[in-house]
Amino acid sequence: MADSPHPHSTEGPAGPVSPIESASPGRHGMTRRRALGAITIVSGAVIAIVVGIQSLRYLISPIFGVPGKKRWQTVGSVAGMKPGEVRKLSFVMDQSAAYMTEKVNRYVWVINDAPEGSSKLDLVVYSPICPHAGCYYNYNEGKNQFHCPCHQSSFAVEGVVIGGPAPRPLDRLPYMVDDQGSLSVEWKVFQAGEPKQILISY
Amino acid sequence: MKLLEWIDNRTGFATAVKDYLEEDIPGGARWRYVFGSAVLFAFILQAVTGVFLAFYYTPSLATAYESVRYIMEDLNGGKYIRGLHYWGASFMVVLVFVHMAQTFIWGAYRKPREAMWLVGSLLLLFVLGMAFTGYLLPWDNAAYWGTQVGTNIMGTVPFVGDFIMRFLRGGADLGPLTLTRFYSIHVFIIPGALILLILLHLILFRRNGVTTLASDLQKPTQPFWPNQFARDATFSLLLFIVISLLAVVSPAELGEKADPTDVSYLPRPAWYFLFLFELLKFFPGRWEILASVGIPLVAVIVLWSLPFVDRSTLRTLASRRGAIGFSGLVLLAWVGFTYAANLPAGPGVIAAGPVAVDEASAQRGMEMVSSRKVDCLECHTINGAGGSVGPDLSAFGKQNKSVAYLESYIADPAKHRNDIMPAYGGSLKPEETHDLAEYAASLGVVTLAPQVSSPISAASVHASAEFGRELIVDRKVACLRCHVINGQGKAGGIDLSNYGAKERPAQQVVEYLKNPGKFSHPVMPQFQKLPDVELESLAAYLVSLKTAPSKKPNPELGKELLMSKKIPCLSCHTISGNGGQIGGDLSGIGSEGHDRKFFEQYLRNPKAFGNSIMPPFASLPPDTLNAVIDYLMTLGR
Repeated sequence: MADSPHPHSTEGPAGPVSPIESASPGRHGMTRRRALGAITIVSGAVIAIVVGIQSLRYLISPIFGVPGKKRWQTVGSVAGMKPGEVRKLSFVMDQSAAYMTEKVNRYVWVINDAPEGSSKLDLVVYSPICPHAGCYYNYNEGKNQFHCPCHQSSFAVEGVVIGGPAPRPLDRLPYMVDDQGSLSVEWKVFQAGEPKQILISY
Repeated sequence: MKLLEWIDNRTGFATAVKDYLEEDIPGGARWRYVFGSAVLFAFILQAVTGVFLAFYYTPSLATAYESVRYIMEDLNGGKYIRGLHYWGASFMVVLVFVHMAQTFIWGAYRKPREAMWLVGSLLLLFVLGMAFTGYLLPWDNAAYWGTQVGTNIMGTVPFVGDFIMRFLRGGADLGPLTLTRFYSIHVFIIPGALILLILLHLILFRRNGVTTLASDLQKPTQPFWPNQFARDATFSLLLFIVISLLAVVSPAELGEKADPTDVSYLPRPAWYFLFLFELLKFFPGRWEILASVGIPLVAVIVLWSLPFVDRSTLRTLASRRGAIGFSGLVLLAWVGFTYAANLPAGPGVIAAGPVAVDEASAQRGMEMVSSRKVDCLECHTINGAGGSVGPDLSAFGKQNKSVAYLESYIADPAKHRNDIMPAYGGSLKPEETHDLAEYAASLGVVTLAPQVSSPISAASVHASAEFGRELIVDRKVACLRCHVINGQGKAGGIDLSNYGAKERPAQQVVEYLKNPGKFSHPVMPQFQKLPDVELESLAAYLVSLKTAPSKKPNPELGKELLMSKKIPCLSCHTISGNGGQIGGDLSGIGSEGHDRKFFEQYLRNPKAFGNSIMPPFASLPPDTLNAVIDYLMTLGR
């Protein structure tokens, strides 16, 4: 900093008028202008790219993957189920999503598929969610069929589609029965509308 | 280009931007002008990262802490984004002060820039408001207690203090309403005000321009773009790199979840408010409001009146010696107070190491407490006995609080921001307070001899296994700290549930308890200070401990379970030609030399054995599992 010839000069709003250095169209002036412009743009771009990439990772982070925890849910008793019998078993399970775990009410359809006259259990457990559009379907006792009220898909008790737009049979859930006749099920939700089972959450 | 022209024709945006960028800077671009734009950059960074944090954060007592932990631990880039916000906040406060100090030293607040200075002073207050409200949002102990103290200080303001405190807290106490209020203020109200004021600040800046030093007046004018902009951008990039490195190297802190009952937590505000925290210690009692209200109020009044008081027109640094000196003093005081508040020992609160306890004095303190001469146990629990209003003090001595501090705390808890605990200064003699302080410092550190007057050692009690059980279950003797008995207690030492199975004589057990080292067991503490009646009772109880004998193997039941498909082994495995093909053939599994434990662990968690296909059977009742294992172990034999 050179010594100023006017150390006590004052400054008004307009300020003193000086020649504008870089407004002169010299070649040197232009390259310097460009270089400074480039520094500005590169600095801004570096910040924007780093924050942009990290933010994008951060924002899409939870949207893939299968939420919830895989575990056995004790559903209820299947003791004394007769061959061909259909039961709706309700239960309460812990549903985990992100940082919260809540108690939710669920139910499954259980069918004893053992041949007539047999005293043993041969169970099939269905997810109650229609594989067409994700509605909850009902059991029609008279017809011995499952029927979805949303788009009229019908399923035989064996799970196969016998009418309507459903693209795949009913979803079976893995299960276990202990010696007391208590049924445990692995709750799974599959993508609706797909011909194949695609697991989307527990 | 045509498109740009079209847009500019209709809106004038391009011309306006060009106009703004090509503003002339009298005396040319300078590095020393970067601080204002650096504050703006910090604000934009806070706004952007704040919006991203709001994607996941939820301001409720049940989820605030959990959502911040989720951001930190479960989300890709979450640690970095919160780190930017956390460190960016500190940098913003620092930059605001640097910017303000520079304006002050240069005398840039003077005519014609008074309005800019006033707006800037308002911006300073709002930035501090952001820092204060943001500090609570993670809802950890630091947040809770820092805000507790901060709002209490506001409550000391005469006349309006109580109203301000209640308004901020949404009631008398910190709770769910405080969190949503602070959230709304932090996310909507202050940012809205900041944006408006920043715009106003910039408009005024456009009107008045930079404050050129007299020494620069004769130098050529340069345009803002690109000459000054390149310097601003370079400095912002440098800031960004430093903040990013801090966010990565030293991630934002998240302590334990806020626990309003943990009054032993030492509240501390964010570092930039620490000086105020330290300052308060110099103004005890009713003088406190001088520091909490008086000094900040004076500071604000001085700030606001400054441009109207100082009407000098000198424009050289030499004429600003007083301002430079004053800024230096303020900086020094601020650094000094902050440093003092950060001294590791604390001002006499925490001793440097374990406190040397005067055992005789502590003994007297203990007798006062257990004879209920002092009502400590009405609220506090010590070694299993007492109330649960206050914190459990059983291991209080481990906090290394100095005896002098404890004496002052017991005499007048309100002085230490504890409004719940009653003061004992009036009802106890100083030496009694001292004894209690020594006793508190001894808890969990020194084992004091049991009292003669203890009802436990009264001669009327006879040694019995039942009394021994009570001693252990009521935790009067600390067996369950390390041992497990029938599922109760802490693992560490051996499980004593089946201690009686070895048929040890009770007298030998008594000797063992008195001095385990003699039986080459140096880890276990000695219990020779216990009265004989207690030792004998403990021994009698211990030798009586026997678990029920295990049931007979039941392979038939296991076979039935598998064949009936109640346990679906045969869905995948084959036994004697019967079953599925997915898993291995189990027909000879019993002859492969595995023990029961192996089967149990394998069935409960096949993954642990590298088998990720087989489902775990962890939820089977023990009897069912045992029957299945019994059956499997017979296969091939």
